[in-house]
Amino acid sequence: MTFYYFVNCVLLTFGPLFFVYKFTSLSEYGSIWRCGIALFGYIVTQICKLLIIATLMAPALIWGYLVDVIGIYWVLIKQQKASLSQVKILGVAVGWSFGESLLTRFVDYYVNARSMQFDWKHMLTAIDANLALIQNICICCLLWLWSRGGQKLPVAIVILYFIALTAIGANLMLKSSLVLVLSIGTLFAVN
Amino acid sequence: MFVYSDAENILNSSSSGTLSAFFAMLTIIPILIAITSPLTVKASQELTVYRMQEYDFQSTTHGCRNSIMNLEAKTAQLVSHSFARKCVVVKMLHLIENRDLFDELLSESVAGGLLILIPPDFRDFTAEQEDGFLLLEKTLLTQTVQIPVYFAIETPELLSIYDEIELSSHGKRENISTSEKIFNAVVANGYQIVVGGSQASPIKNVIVSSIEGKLIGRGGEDQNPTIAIVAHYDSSGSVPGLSFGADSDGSGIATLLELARIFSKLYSNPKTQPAFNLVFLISGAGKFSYLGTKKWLEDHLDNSENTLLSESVFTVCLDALADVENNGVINMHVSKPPKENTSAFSFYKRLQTVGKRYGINVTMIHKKINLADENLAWEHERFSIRRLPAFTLSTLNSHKSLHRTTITDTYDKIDINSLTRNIKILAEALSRQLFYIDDEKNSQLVDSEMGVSESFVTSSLKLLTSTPRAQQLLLTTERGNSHQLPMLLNTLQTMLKKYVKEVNIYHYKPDKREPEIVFYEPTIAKMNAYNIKPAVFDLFLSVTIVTYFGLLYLFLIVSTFF
Repeated sequence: MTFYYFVNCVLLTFGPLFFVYKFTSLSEYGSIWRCGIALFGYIVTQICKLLIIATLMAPALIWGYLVDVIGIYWVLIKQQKASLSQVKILGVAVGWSFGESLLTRFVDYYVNARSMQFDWKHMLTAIDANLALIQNICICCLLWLWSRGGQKLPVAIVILYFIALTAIGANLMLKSSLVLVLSIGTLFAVN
Repeated sequence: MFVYSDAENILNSSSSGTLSAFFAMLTIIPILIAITSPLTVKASQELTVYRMQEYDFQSTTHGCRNSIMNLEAKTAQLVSHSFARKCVVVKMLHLIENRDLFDELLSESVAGGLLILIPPDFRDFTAEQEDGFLLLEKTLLTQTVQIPVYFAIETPELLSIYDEIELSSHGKRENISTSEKIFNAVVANGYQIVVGGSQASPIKNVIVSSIEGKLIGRGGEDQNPTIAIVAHYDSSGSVPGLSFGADSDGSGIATLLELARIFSKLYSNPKTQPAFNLVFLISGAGKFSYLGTKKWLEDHLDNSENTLLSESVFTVCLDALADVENNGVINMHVSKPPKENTSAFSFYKRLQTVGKRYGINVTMIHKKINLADENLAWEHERFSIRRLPAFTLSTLNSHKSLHRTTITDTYDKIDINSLTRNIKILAEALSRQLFYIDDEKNSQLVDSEMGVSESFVTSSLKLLTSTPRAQQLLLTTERGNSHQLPMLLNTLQTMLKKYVKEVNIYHYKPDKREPEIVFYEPTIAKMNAYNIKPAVFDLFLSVTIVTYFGLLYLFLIVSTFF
């Protein structure tokens, strides 16, 4: 039944992406192309990130996050055609998350989750993908607020979030509480 | 205040209510994750397992005929339970206490496979448990088993797997409610035991090597009669990969090496060179009717050019001299009691004389050769068959002693003191024989610098017991025209060469058409224990995910109304 487990993992990873696309205003506006650009942006950003790490020898996690944020900002602000802010934010977040899951998690599932050995790790990765989706939506929203309003609060939340994320490392429990704090912070910033 | 309302305006322009509700609901997911505790993550275990022995001897099959296993692990808690298509994991002590279970597991095809956990140290066994274990091994050595049987040494990891399996099979026994059953099925941790590789197959081109070393007497080989000292290097047990054979016959080889070391000093000086040839033979296939010795004898006796054994005084075979049974005697096992005027008899008398000084009784035990038996009882019988005077020295009272073929025969069991003492008696008696000394007093020949070195005996015995010495693990390989000795034999050859000038190797090959002996691989394998979940678990997982999706859908629909 190991293939079934693989299916479960894939379902939990990509299902929410589909749901967010399908049952929000994204699908109404036919934003598949928008998501595609975000996916492309994700790939370009990762390549740039690796190039920077390779040349500048700065493997610190925080720099990786910085490049990611710049990448998201670039896709969100510079590459998106005029549309509803909601569509823009969700489109980029969904596309970005899809790229992330497809290129980092899916391969891992395909190689390891189908093996005979059962491992909770893959289920945890799938849960992590859900957290990443929320995180990306929040980050996109905050960046968008920052670009429009010119205020300091959203960008402060983003910076604090990534500093905290660097500090806690790979603990899923802490990460989930941190994402919770981030989403509350975003809610506060939005209102 | 301006900035916030500004942001609000921006969001309001694009139905910001949706977003705020969206984020509000999103916060639920992390809470859900936070309250579900993360479960411990375990990686797949790769373990070294030792297969039960398998060989054909005199066209009779022995041992376990199968080697591949891909089965779910279960513990043998319920004897009445059928374990078909299951691998039964059982502790050795449990089997010793429940002989019926053991016989059932082996005789009928109740289980799909068997994995027996043995304690890392046999010293913890009580005398009763050890006797029980020896009897189990006897069964394993004689029976033919169709299922794969593997042995593994208990490690903390293995024991935790065992405990987990036991827990899950324990839960199924009790009368519990359906909901509990489902819960158990979901949280249960199963293990799939996998031993891959190819099916057990005969080892091709079996070559068993024996090492011979000669100390030539005064005036050359032809001028002197020969005394041979023989010990076999291989060990036997129910598990080849765990047969270290410290007493049988590691102690014999250690004695032989020590004698070679002592007497090489006598032979190196022309003034003390005795008028005897001393031949040392480290023989192979000793646990298989002494086929290595047989080959060596054929090469010497059926070859007219070889005159080494044409005048043989007697042959001393050594087997189990470390006294693991605490008999406190040295037994001289003979096929025919030597007549009073023979050298063998005088050697016996000399042994008794020397033994008395150390408080050791030397007795003679007479047992006729039974050619109908599958195995010859003692090594000297090979010589007796060829009408050469020979006897075996051993501390064991009977050739049937189970201590000769057991995996409990490890270095820890050896009492080095009694082994050294026995070597002393033997060396002194032999030196008296070489120089015709019949004094009642201490001859002082084997003393001080000529004395038996306990450290040498210890180190050679440690070397011998550092690796399993089952014959199938010590086969010579042939490359073109040259023979490649296994590592241990190479070392033994080097050691012998250091003391004895002339060292020869004899290779025994079984008959091509009707081989006397067939060995099977593998003996040592890699086993994987995969942590598996029942299908119910995956189903449960799917239901959970779908429920989560349902909630997500509802929330997305609801959020669009704001």
